[in-house]
Order: sequence, then structure tokens, then C-alpha cells
Amino acid sequence: MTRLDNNNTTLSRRGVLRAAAGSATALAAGAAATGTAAAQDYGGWFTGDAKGGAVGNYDGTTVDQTGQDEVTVEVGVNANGGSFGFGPAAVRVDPGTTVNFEWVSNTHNVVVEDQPEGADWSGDEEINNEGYSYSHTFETEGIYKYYCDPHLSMGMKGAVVVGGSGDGGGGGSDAPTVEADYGDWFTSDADGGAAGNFDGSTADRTGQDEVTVEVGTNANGGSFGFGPPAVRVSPGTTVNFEWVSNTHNVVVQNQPSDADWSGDEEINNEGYSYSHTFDTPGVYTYYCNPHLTAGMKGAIVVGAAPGGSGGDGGGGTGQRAFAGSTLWKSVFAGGVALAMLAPILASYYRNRTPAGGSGGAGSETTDEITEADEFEPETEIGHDEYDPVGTLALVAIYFLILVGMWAFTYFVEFLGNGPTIVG
Amino acid sequence: MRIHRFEKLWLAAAFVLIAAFIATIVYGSLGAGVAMVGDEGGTVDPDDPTASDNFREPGVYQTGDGEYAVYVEARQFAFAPGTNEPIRVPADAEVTFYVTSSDVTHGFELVGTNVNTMVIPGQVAELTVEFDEARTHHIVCHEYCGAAHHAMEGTVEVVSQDQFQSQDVPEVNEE
Repeated sequence: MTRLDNNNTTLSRRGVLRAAAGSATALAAGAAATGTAAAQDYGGWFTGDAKGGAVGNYDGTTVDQTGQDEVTVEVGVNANGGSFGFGPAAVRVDPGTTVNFEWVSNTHNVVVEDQPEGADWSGDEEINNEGYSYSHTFETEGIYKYYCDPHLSMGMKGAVVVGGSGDGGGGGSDAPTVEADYGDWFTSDADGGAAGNFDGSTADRTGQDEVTVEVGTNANGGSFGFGPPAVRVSPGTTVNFEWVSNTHNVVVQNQPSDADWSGDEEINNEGYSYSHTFDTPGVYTYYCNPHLTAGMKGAIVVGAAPGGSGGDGGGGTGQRAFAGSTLWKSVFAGGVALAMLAPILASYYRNRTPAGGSGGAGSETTDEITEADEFEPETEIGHDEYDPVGTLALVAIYFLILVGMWAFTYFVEFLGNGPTIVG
Repeated sequence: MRIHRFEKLWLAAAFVLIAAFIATIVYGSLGAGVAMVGDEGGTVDPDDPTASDNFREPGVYQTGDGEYAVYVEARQFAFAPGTNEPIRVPADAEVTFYVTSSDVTHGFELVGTNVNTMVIPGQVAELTVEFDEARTHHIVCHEYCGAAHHAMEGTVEVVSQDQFQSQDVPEVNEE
């Protein structure tokens, strides 16, 4: 990829892309690699768990720019709620590749967060504006993490992966990421009725060798559901379909092009089970033919969730965190309900006690209440003859507090806290 | 109307207190020399403040014997100078800050001091400060200016007169 012309000082994002595309056919290869979603573990760097905010323009893919001598990363592209992104956020290059950081908006820098041992990248911590560029040649293999200091909290973070293969099955074979995208399969727009037991969430069962899906659970107005309707498993997982009610089958609706799942179209009853091992990553959708119109539909996602750490631990943690938040929500809701009921309960308790205890005596005492006697003053004194000494003391104390606060705020806190604006 | 003598006492004390408050403000202005930031800094073109006569290229300038001018441009989310390189000024000198913004309203506050002003795009905030001691002051933006407002900060390094002589500061004539 060629260096940008010097006369192109007002760099627009489009302009940079055009200049880049004009010189390098390899960019096309890079764009294609974006689609293949080579999974790379950045240890949570792109999430909000790391320092700074979550990176909105990192979609789980590492742009493959291997095989090129020079690669451009734009600094300050439109992302993260402003011009606060690196474009692309994550890029894979060969060792010895020169990465040109091109500033496309103002007040950004490149601060190195982490780099492989033996690497000597120092970044460019000076804050610069649109039109500026800076380049570094990456020699040492490994993951380089960097960010823009003024916009770290916005999620302006990036990574350069040096070495390793991102194309084909190489980097992607261990934990391919597959998005849980079912299209409109679970709605009534697809064949059959809407799956009422699908709430939009995909049960995460990654990292397990065997996973059970119940066939004919109570759902969709009868025993017409798969439980769970959508499940995510790791490649190589055996899914056991266990019939828990009668007259169901498993018919494959859609599967990845190179997968060979044939389902189990024979209609069977409770107690029957059937299993299949899913090796090819992708989204599989299936249904029960007799109850398709009722919405008895299911899906299996094979592969890791995008954006996560890719491992089984990541999925499990997510699940637990969700369960925890529900628990706290219930505790909170319960507390609010209790606080609202408290006055009613208290008044009920108060009203009940006298009735249960001394009912007869209570009614007698109410009759005895009479007005207190009004006493005539023994001596009457004039207006000036009474000295409200207590009131005077109170006023004096207030006065002293006021004077003290005034002296403290103005002379100690304000004038004493130099320097002060004097002109 | 008959007023009790105790009431007369605290009414009189209250009037004395009000008079003392006013006297304090008068003393602060005339005696201690506390000044307000006004509009004497003038206006500039927010898109290009340096194009205007009353704003220079951001930096520190010597304007006279013991008089310095510091031109600061604030923008999301940095002070220039201040954030990238610290503002170096000498102690025991009259330092006048000229602060303006090229995008949104910012704040300019030296933490823990009485030096603070609002920084309005197109308006130059002019404030003169005398630093008695050599120490480092931190600048914060104390007007919400955007998502990374909390990360907007800078530094003013006040160094002793001797140390400052070695500094190369351009001399200019104000007025």
C-alpha cells in the first residue's frame, strides 16, 4: 500500500480508503478476510473490563492484512460516539510490516498498552491532529495493544497482531466465532408458527462434550417445544435429543453448506432418544414436523460467541453474571414491595393489639379523658420586665457560628488559597 | 411599637454583620486585589483563534520585565499547551493567561487555587496570576465538555526565576 500524497492534507476517511484501494489489490483480500472472522484472543482488551471503555468498532474480527509491506490504520475514525476509533481496531500483519497510522481527526495519540517481550514499540504519545501520520515497523511476533489517551474512556483502543495466519482454517480452527443469527426462523414469518418458548437468548453450553435437548417440553400451547429452543455448543459436541412427550421428530430445516446432519424424521414417543455430533461450525435450524404450525422449532449454534474470549470459561461467566443480576433484581423488587406494604402491616398490627389485649379497659379510659384545667397567672409582668436570656444565648451562638463561617470561608478558604486572579 | 432591648441588641448586631460582609468584599477587591474575569480578553474566530489580533499561537511569551503571557487553546479533550507539554512559567512574576476554546465550552481551573474560569468558544478569558512559590499546578476542565471530559487535564509548572532564565521564551510587545 502506498504512502498517501502530501498534498492530500485534508484527509477524509473516504479519501484514505480510495487511495488505499487504488494501490493495493491486497486490500480486497483483507476485506475478504474480515468476513472469515479469524478469532483472536485479546484477553478482554476490547471490552469494557479492560482499562477504558468497550470498543464499539471491534466486532470480533481481526482484519487480515498479511502479505503486505505497508498497512494503514486510521486514527480517529467515526466510532464509539464520535471520531474516537482506530480503523481497523484489530489488524493482523506479517513480521516486518510497516504500519502507517494516519490521523483523520483531531487530538489523538497512540499509546502502547502491551506488547510482546523483546518488542520495542514506543507508540507516539504526542497528541496530533488530522493530516498527521506516524509509522512503525513491527518485527517481533505477538499481540500489540494500544490506545488513544485522550479518548481511552470512549473505547478508542486498537491491536496489531504480528505473525500467525489468519486466512483459511489456520487461526480460525480452534475457536471459530459464529453469530447466533437465526433470521426469522423463530417467528411466524418462517415456515410454521412462532416459537413461543424462544425468548431471544441462546443457551450457552460451549465447552461440554455432551449436551441434552429435550423434545416435546411444555411450550407453545402444549407439549410442543424443544428445550432449550436455541443452544450454543462447541464444535465436536454430541447433542442428545431426548423425547419427553409423544409424537415428535427432528427435521433439519437449514444447516451449514458442508454439514451432514440428517435429523431423525421418524416420529417417536416419550423415552426415545437420538444423538448427533456437530463438527462443522455454523447455525443449524430444525423443527418437529407434526407440530411445526404450533411453533415447535429449534436451533443449534456450533462455535464460540463473537466478541467473547472464545473459551468455554467466557461463556460460563456470562451465564453466571446474568443469573446473579436476576437474583439482585428480585431481592431489590422484594425490598421495594416490603417497604410499600410496611405501613399497611404496621397499622394492622397496631389496630389489632388493643382489641386482642385489654378491650374492656380501653373503652373505659376513653370516657375519662377531660380537658385540662386553665390556670390563672399568679403574677402578670410587663413587656420589658421579662428577659429572654435563653433566646439571647441562642441568638448569640448562631451569630458566632455565622461570623466563624464567614471568616473561615472568605479569609482562610478563599484568600488563603492562593494564587488568586489579580487582574 | 415597643421593641424589647434584647431585640434591639440582635437587630443592631445583624446590621453590623451585613456591613462587615460588604466591607469584606470591598477589602477583597481593593486590599487583596482579587479580580473577576471579565470580557476584556475580547473575541476571536473560534475556528481559528490565532488569526485574531488578540490571540497568539498557543504558548508562553515574555511581555515585559517579570511579565509573561500564556496563550492556551482548549479543545476536546486537551489544553494546548498544558496537556501534551506542561506550561512553564516563573515564580514571582505576573502571568496573564489568555484562554479560548476552538470547539465547545470548557473550563480552566488550577486545582486547589482560586484560579478558574469558563472557556467559551470565540471569547478570550484573560486572567492574571502571580505565583509565589515554585510548584506544579494541575489544570482541570471543570465545565462538562463531552464524553471524555473527565480525562481533560493539564499541568502548569511554576519554576524559580533562576531556573526560568535558561528557558527560551519568545519576547513580544503587548499593547
